Amino acid sequence: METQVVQPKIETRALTKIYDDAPGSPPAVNSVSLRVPAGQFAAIMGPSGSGKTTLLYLIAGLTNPTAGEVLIDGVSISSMPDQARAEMRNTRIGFVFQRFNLLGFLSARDNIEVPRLLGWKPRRAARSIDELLAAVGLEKKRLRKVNELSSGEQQRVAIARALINDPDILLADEPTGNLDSRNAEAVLDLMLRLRTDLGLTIVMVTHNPEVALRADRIIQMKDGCVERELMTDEIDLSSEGIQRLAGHFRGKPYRA
Amino acid sequence: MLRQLTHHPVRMLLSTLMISVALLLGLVIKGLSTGVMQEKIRRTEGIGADLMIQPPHSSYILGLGENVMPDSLAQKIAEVDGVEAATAVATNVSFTNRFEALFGIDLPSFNRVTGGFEYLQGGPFSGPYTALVDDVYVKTHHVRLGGTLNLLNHNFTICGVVEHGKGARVFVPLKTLQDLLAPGKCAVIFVKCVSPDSDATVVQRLKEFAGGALKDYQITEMRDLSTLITPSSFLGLRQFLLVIVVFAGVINFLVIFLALYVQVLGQTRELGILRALGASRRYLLRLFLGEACLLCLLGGALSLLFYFLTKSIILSIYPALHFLLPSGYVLWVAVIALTSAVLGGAYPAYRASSSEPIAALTYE
Repeated sequence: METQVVQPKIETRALTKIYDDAPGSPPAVNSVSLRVPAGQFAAIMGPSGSGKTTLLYLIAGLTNPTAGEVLIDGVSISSMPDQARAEMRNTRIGFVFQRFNLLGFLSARDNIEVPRLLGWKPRRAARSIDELLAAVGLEKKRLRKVNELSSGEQQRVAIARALINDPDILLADEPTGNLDSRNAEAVLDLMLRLRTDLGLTIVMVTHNPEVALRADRIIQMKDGCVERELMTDEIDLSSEGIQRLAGHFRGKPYRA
Repeated sequence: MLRQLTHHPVRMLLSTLMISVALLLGLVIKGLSTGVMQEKIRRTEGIGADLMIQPPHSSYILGLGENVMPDSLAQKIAEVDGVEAATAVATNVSFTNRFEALFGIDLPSFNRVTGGFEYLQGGPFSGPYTALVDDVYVKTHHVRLGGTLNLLNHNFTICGVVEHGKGARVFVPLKTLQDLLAPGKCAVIFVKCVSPDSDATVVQRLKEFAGGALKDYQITEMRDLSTLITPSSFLGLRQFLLVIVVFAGVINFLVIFLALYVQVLGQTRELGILRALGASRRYLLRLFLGEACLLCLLGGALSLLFYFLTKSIILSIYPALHFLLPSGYVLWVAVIALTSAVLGGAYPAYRASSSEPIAALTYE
């Protein structure tokens, strides 16, 4: 019987990034090959400097790899010209930053609208800003300057902005990293709900094992390489199990 | 784009003001010089003559020529076939208070050529040191009938106020002005032809007159005057205006360059965000060049506003002056300003479009 190969939504092939061109500089990402199927929620974990954020930036096409390539739906974005890559970032990929990266002089509504104003035609029927504001629970604060919002609210604005052009991929760089536990939980719930509602493929970088456990899959990185990969449904989620998992991410062997 | 500009209102306002002041200088100088020249043309045309005879290399701006022609020529010219009347006029520029042309006229022949003055008050010359002034002169110099004018260090009594538009604002008897400046000489002879259609024929006859005595003289048909009185009639005015416009363009370039360069340096993070959200290099290039043009257009619009404001202030102080801003000149200034704006915005736009998203996003 012939096996049907499902094309992954995101694929990296021997992806390598060296920031400093000086000879002997260690690669920030070292020959990483990954396949993320459509609709999967993958969490990337690892200690600081392990290359998590760089990997995310490479997947988003925000920087060029030194070697290897990134493919979205089988199309390499690494060799695309700037125009095509910018269009891909605008229409196919939503990006949520740890520090929100909102434009402080604009209102929540205007911040969400920014990706629409960059000259690209959305792939699908445009999602309305009010609909998104309602989805992130900020319809009453739509005209407030984002600097006047709490950090949790700012991150929700950032998520709404990432979704305005109806992307099929959401990349999030520690989206709960700057939030207290209550806001972090709310943002995570929102991402999970949107993933289900919109059929998003999510790749999220996080330090927090409890946050990572909400994903379908955990990718553990160390020194720019993928050290381990786990499917979360294989993990014992009892309190003791989580402790063991946390220990695992600190370097101790994990036993389910 | 506008929101981006208004994000830094003080910087935007200052940049716009600097651009507008640089452009304003060119507009006011051009408007004033053209207005004054047009007024000169109107006044000279208003004399009612068909031809104007001047010594070689004279200025078409009456009053700037020297009194070197014998006034007896007028009498001989009046006898040429096709000539109805001719009158000799001695001229001088009075710098008392303001730059004003002063005509020394022989009233009977001047009246034959021009059709005569319309007296609003008083009447013709009643003695050698009497003067006629026009109504604009009365208004701007606050003089009155019977008052005294000091011209060429001599006192003249105002014997009549006439309707404006006969070449000068002040008229004195020809003989008096000649005695004070150059006895028996004049600067211009105005000629009235029997038929205006015969101007060219009369010009030819005048060239051949008295064995070619006038062949080197300037004989101008009055209907051509508007094409002859141009900025080049004033020595160096055209070059001066060119320097002013180039100067305005350079200031425009520097202001826009500085404003946008500071903006690019100060908004590294914002540019990174835009790049991360899908702004292409081409988009950022367009955004900044568009902003340069918008700044320039705002500055240009403000300079026009300031021009009309300056004009009304100047006219309220000096009502005798005239402004005229040719639309072609405004268009030319706009092209220079927009070109310098695009050049000034080019490097900052290039810098902005070259920003790497990661470098910008990690910028603190």
